[in-house]
Amino acid sequence: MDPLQEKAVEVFKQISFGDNGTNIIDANVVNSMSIEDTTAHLVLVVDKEHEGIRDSLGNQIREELTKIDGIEQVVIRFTQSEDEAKASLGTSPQQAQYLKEYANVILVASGKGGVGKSTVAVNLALALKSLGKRVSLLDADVFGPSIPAMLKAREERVLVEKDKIKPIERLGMQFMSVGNMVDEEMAVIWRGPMVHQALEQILRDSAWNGGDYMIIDLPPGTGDVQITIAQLTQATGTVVVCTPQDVALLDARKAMGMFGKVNIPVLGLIENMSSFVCPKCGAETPIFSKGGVEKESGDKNVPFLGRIPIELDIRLGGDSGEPVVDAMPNSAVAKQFKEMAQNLIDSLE
Amino acid sequence: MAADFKRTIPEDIYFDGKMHIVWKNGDHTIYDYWELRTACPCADCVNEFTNERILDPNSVSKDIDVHASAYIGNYGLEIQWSDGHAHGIFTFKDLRDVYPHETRTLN
Repeated sequence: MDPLQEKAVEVFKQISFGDNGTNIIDANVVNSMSIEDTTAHLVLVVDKEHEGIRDSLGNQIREELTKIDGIEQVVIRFTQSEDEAKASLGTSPQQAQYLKEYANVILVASGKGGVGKSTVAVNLALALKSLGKRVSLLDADVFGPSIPAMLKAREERVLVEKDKIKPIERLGMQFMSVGNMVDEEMAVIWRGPMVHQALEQILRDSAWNGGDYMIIDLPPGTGDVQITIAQLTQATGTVVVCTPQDVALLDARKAMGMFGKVNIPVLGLIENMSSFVCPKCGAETPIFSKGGVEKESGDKNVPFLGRIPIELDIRLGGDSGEPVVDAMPNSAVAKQFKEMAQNLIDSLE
Repeated sequence: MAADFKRTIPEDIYFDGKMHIVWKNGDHTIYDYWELRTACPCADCVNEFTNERILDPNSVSKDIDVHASAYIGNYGLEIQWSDGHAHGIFTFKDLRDVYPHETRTLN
């Protein structure tokens, strides 16, 4: 027997079933157990007579099992008879999801285009990396991929090795983009089913290293790409990037509505292009207004992760392929991105 | 927000002649295969524009069975039925609030 299983059995022997003195192994309560990664799956038999103690028993088992080093989660399947327990085995739904090699899959989304989603995605990824996390990046904007330019990889093409697509490595992260699969000048003109197929191929066939965070840069809006990603992965949540003016907020609301429909939690809002501070005179001009996103997050009861000002360095860094978080790690903007990343980490732990 | 999500995210799903879902918040709901199959929300079974039911429930055998199933992202379940039908996505929200089920209670 697997050492973890042995430890679990020892734990079970210490847990008594009701007040009749026998432990849950001898009372045939534990019907079967399997351990996958750090999750223990149990099938327990608790007959109708003992239904009253079912929940407290479940809690006790959960509490005791998670004390074992190597078991973090306990999933219990309560059945009422041995036959029911047997019938319940081997029929669970298939987990067809991709990107399981990442602890967190974060979607960077926006309702409106041009709000700086890709800029935020790249810098957020690098900020998470600077905080010690293992991060990869997927550019899911199949129609206008901009991550290759932002990471100075416009000329590179992905390699196929042993039927696997090898993601490109930059600044200590793996990333994939349609921009590195087709010619830059060639327009991608795909109908919905083609989008779905191409994304599924990237998700299925990429040789990802795995890690703490997979950041997915989505195209703007609520279309095919969003649906495909929502169906084929088990996203931890989304961060919605928005500029503070009213039209952008309107679209952001639609994006949040869509994520609600597909059960993906909105982890927070980010206000980009918050205001412009003149480098010559120091006067602050709220070009797209300021504070609108923070107010919206209050109204919608979702966390506000931070605001990023309009700053020349961010744009220059993006265009030159040297993202500001990596190229100017001590700048005020880089610090703001890191603060945002820390807020995100905190909200997940 | 968190509590709401726990209500519509399953911790475990299994089939033993009925479909069982144990939700993250601890609730346990049970579904009859025939009732679920005849409530299939796909475009072959329900008119997409008028919401009129196309599927005649009498055409579904009472001993309909489940062959396989798969999670659809965070939000739904696709079931492959013994009559070959496999298109409908049963969303977790509707499995909680719309499709007929019994709730396994503790007392």
